[in-house]
Order: sequence, then structure tokens, then C-alpha cells
Amino acid sequence: MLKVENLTVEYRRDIEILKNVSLIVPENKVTAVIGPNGAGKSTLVKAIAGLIKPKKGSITLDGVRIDGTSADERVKQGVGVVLQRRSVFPQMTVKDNLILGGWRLRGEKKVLEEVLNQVLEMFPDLKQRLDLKAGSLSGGLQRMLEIARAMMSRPKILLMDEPSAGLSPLMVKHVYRQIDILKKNQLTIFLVDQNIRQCMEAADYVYVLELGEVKGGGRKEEISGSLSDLIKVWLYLEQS
Amino acid sequence: MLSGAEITYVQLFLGALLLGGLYALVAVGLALIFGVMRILNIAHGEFIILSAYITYWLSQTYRLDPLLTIILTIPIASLVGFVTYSAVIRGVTKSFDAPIVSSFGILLILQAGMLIAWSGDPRSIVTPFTADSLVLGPYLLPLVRLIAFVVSVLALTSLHVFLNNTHLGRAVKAVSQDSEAASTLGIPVSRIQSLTFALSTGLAGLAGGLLSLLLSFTPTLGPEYLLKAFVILALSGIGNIPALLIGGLVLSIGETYGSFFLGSGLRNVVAYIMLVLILLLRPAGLFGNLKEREV
Amino acid sequence: MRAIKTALPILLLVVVILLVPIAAADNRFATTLAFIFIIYTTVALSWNIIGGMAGQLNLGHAAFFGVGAYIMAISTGSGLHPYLGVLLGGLAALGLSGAMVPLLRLRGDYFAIGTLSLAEAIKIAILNIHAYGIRVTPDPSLGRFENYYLASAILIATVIITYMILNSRYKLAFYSIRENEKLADVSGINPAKYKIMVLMISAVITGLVGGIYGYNLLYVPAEHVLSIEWTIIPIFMVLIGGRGTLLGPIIGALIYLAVYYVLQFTITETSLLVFGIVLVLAIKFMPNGLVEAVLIKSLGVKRTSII
Repeated sequence: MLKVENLTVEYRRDIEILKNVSLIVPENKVTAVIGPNGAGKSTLVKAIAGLIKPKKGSITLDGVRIDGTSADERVKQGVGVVLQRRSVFPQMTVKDNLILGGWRLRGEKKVLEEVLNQVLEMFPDLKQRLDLKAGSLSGGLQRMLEIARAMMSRPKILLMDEPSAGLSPLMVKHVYRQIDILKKNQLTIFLVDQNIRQCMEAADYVYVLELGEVKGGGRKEEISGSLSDLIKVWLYLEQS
Repeated sequence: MLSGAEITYVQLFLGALLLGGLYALVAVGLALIFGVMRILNIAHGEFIILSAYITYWLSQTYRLDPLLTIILTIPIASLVGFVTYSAVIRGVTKSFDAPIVSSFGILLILQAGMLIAWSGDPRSIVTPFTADSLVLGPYLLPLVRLIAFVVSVLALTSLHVFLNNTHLGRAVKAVSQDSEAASTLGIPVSRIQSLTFALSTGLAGLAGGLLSLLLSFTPTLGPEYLLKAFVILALSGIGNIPALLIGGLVLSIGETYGSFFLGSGLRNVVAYIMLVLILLLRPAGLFGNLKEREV
Repeated sequence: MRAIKTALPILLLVVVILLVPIAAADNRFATTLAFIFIIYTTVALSWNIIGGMAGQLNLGHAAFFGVGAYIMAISTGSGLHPYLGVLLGGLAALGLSGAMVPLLRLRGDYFAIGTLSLAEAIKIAILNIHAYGIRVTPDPSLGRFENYYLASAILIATVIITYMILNSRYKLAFYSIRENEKLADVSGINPAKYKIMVLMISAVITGLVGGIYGYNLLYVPAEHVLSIEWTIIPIFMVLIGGRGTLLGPIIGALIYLAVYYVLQFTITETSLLVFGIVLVLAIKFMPNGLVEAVLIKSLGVKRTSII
């Protein structure tokens, strides 16, 4: 279970992107953070992943503090992340990308092979394309590869930064179907997205982030009502 | 039956071929550092020449077989590189081109150091087999060049295998393609970068050692080899070891024939002209998407 | 206010420089020292234009200097008026910068290597022709006194040019090119145009300085005037003092001269070593130069803008 407490992230000493953010990501459930553009969602994910250093606050995973460690150390602590941007290794094959995902397991050949097979079972589209260069895959498949690769380290929690970004609606459905499968496998998922509909469908818990502050959160069913008003406000703002 | 002139041309070609392998080895160190860290190590030439001096000095002082000394030089060069990187280049701000200025400072320090330690007089290593050649029909293959070629190709092949077939090697490639993504997979990017720098200078160490058998050297030879490495990178890109080998061959052949027809003093000018030609004929830039700073 | 803060010490410096040969009429040493200061400062300021302001690390700067000296020597040797020779030296350096233009297409790091290589290649080519240098016959009416003032004139012109660029609309263009060229490009600034412009300005100034230096010396040895020290020392001065500013290179030059004096006026391997070490330390601990480090400490100025 991930606990974020009073997290504050600054940009260039003056601007606070995240202000005293606190939230809880329960085990084996999907927790989503929604919010308008510029709310700080990506920053939140990056801070939990270790790519950004917070000014203050703490991040705890299963009772162990993980803030303060570097991104690569955090993988050992059980964090897996799928970045918003394209992040496959373009010149390497799908297979090599996946093997690199299993970097943690590099000393244990048998285990690595087993995990690779398990992951490929979950992502049959990738199984068919093992020897292709990752850069030649379509956007949706690259996203799949990124997710599969992150799964290779057998993370306790998977962070996803706007998994639908830059994808066609069909591909977005495809990705969320994949997230569903992961959800069924009892993986703890922390997800931020601008695509509210898909995101909310997949989520068990929802938090709302606006201008760096948590404006509310809880079980999806409980807060659905007040959410729809909020969303109407955002949509209105974005349309104007 | 080939005429005298034709034999000369083929002889030149063979000599250039053998040298090309060494040139590729010279270039690969620069490619590694640039590929993984986007730093152009201006002092690369100095590491090579320093290694030549180390080989020279060790074999003179301890009366060791030069080939053995080359093997000793490699870890020494690696260590020097590692220390240099950790102390000087790593911590430097990324503003403008601070790492390059840093490496420029290293260039000065190394060059001056060599001048102080060994003066500007040319040095060379003479071995029992320096003058020997393998005879192949009407052609002579100088033994030292042959050794340099074989060792270089072996080293390059090993590097290729390392990068593509081992976990650590793949991690190095990953860091060069996307260091942030690599860190999210648990790869210790900073350590890999240090390792790469040490690997690069180790390869420079091998190149310098081989070079010391081939020609006489002075402390100011560094920039010349930097230029050679750079031209080869321009020709071959940085991602591809077999391409580097070809690039090394092209440069070596160009230099050999160029200096044959134009005079040996203009050898380096040949390299520079090649560089300008490449720039003019490939306006899309040398290494494509790696040329520009990301927005 | 800031402009006056900068302008005042410089005006003072200029006045002092102009007065030296008159005030110290019998002291050849003082005049020579001041002359060297002028030469170095001008070369530093000219490198600053391309390397400091526009951020293009030109490591072949020495070539401009050397070619300037060289062409001056050849033209003067053919009977032309020495100062005309100096002018031709400047033009020759300008022509050389034309040869460097293709390199501008390269990213900073490649540009650095490319220019370094070009300078090396030129040095070797010239050494092949004139291994021992050229002697210059002095024109009796143009002695050290006149040379001094010509050099001063070039320095003053350079200071003015630098000042003008720093206070013109070009300044932001250069800074944006320096910080992020691609972004500058898509913002509508044409980096190529600006880079070529500063390269040429920098080249002409350096060529002129090389010319007058050579003439004053009455002897142009290729190994010396094309030596990498004419690249290293200006870079050193600019980095120590502060890139992209007007005061920076000047202060750097003063510091350099102090070190030069302590090292007894010779550039030996030891001094190269010292320069290398200082360079490395400076870029690590004072990446923006002394001027800025001092500004931040004494005035508590926060680096909030790129200006």
C-alpha cells in the first residue's frame, strides 16, 4: 500500500507544482487521479517514481519510506512506472526491451525466463513480434511494450502516467483492456489520466487534483456525484 | 602480371586496410562516451597518446615485452579515465557545454603532463619484430600493422558481443537510447556512465598501446587522433560497430592515397577535407536525430 | 544604473590604457605589458562574441590570429603599407571564417572538434610552407608607439561592438541560441544567420589583432602565432571572468596577466598544466565566471533571468 503524505514539489524555487498532497493507494486496487491540464498529475507520478525530488513530504510503500531514493533504487523497492512519453528503446528488439525490464532479475536466468513467459502470456501481441525493433511498432503496441516491460520487474505497484496519451480511441480502449487484465491479476495500480471516462471506469478509488492540491477523493461510487459537477466545470473551462 | 604501379597501389591498399582496423578502435571509445552520455570527450586523443607513453615507459623501465605491456596499459588507462570522469567531468553543470570545456581542460592537463614527463622529443618502441613483414606474393604485410589489425578487430568484436549479448552491455545501450527510461527499470544510470567512460578510456588504452608499436609519437599528437575519431564517427554514426570498421577503412584509405599523391605533410588536411565534404553532402546532419539538442 | 556600473570602470580602463605610453614614456616594460594586455583582452573579447554570447565553442580561434599575422607578414613583405597588411590580415581571417561556416551547422560539441581540427590542419599546412616563420621589415614611421595606438583602437572598437550587441535586440537572440538552439529556431530566430554573423565579427577582430601583434613583433613564426595558446588563453580569460559579459573577459585578462607575470612571461608546459587545472576547477566551481560569482556573493543577486 502506498502512502503519500504532505508532498510538496517545487519548480525553480518559487513555483509549487504540488502543495501538501496526501493520498493513499490501497493494495490490489486501481487508484486514479484526475484533474485538468497543469494540475500536477505527471509531477505526482514522477515524484513517486523517483524522477523528481520533492521539497518536503514523504512517500511510503508497505511501511518503507521510499522518498529519497533514486529512481533506479526504487525499482528494487517495488515501484514500476510507465512514463507518459514514448519510452521504449527504439533501436532494440521487443525481446531485448523486455529483458531489460527484467534487469532486477538479471542474475537469475531461470526466473527471468519464467517471468518473461508469464508477461508474454499477458501480452500476446508482443509475443508475436519479439524480434521486431521496438521503434517500428505502432503507438499502441509501444505503449503495450512499455507496460509489459514495467511488469518484468514484478513491481508491487505500477504507476502509469497518462497511458492514453497520444493514442487513437481504439488504442486507448486496447490499453485499458490491458489495465483491466492487470487489475484482475490483483496488481496495485496508480494511474493518472486526462481521459476521464476510461480512467474512471477502470478505477476503484479516485482522487481529484487541481492546481497542485488534492481537492477530494475516495471510493469511486461514493464521490461520483460531486465529481460529475466538477468535471462539468473543467470541460466548460477547457471549451472556453 | 601486375605492373609496378599497380603493385604499389595494392600494397598501399593493404597497408591502409590494416591500419583501418586500428582507426576504428580509436573511434569506438569516442563513440561510446558520446552515445551514452552525449559528451564529446575532447581529451580522447590525449588518452590515446598517454597510453602510448605508458606502454613506452613501462616497457622501457621494466624491460617488458611490449605486447605484454599493452595488456597492462589497458587497466591503467581505464583507471585514469574513471578518476578523471568522477573527479572532473561528472559533477559539472550541464549549462552550455560545460562538460566539453572540462574535457578541454583535461586535454591541457594531459598534454602538458606528457610534455613535462617526457619532453617533446619523438618516442617510439622498437621491438624485435618491428621491421618484419609477412610476405604475401609480391606484397608485404608489416607485422606490427597486422598485429594491430587483428587485435583491433578482436577488441571490436568483443565489444559488439558485450553490448548485444550481455545484461550489462544491453544496459549500456539502454542508457544511450533513453537514460530516464533505463533508470525506471532499475538500471543505475550514473554508474553505467562511469563504467562507460572507463571502458572508453580502456579501449583508448589499447589503441594507444598498439599505436606505440606503429609509429613515433609526441605529446601533441592528441588532436590529430581526435580528428580521425571524429571523422570516422561522422562517416559511420555511433550506433554500429561494423560501420565504424568501414569508416576506419575509408579514412585510412583516403589518408594513405591522399598522402601518397599530395605529400605526407597534408595527411591531416585530408581528414579535415573529408569532414567538410561529409558535412556538405549530408546536410541532414551527421548523426541524424542525435545532432540536435532536444527541445 | 547597471549600465553605468559597467561603463564607468571600462571608461576608466580605456583612459588608463591610452595614457600609458605617454605617462611611462621611458618605461618600455610598462608599455609592452600594456600592449600585451590589449592584445589578449581583444582576443578574449572577440572569442567572447562567438563563444560567450552565442555559445558556440570555437576551439580554432588561434587560426584567425595566426592567419591574420601571416597574411600581414606576407603583404608587408610584398611592399604594402604595414597597416594595410594588418587590414588584409583581418580580411584573410574573415575569409577563413567562411571556411568554418559549414561547421556551424553542427551542434556545439561537434563544432568544437571541427574547429579544433581545422586550426590544426591549417597550422600543419602553413608549417609545411614556412617552417621558420617570416621576418617583417618595419616601416620606420610606424614604431611601437603607433602600433600601440592601433591596437588600442581595435580594442576600443571591440569593446564598443560588444557593448552594442549586449544592449541591442540581438542580445536575446544570441542568448536563446546559446541556451536552446532548436527552440530558438522554431521561435522564428534564424540561428544560422546570427552564428555566421558573430563568427565573422569575431574572426575579423582577431585577424586584425594578429596582424598588429605580428607587426609589432617584426617576426611571424607559424608555430607561435598559430599555437593553440591563442585559443586556450582567451577561453581561459572569458571563462574565469564570465562568459557573455563585457566586464568578464576584461577581468579575466587582468587575472591572466597577473598569472603570466608570476610565471615569468613564458608559456611553458607547466603553465599549460596550470591553465588546464584552473580551467577544470573554474568550470566546476564557478561555471559562470568570477564576475557572476562575485555578483552573487556581494550583491546577493539571484540568477533569476538569463540576462
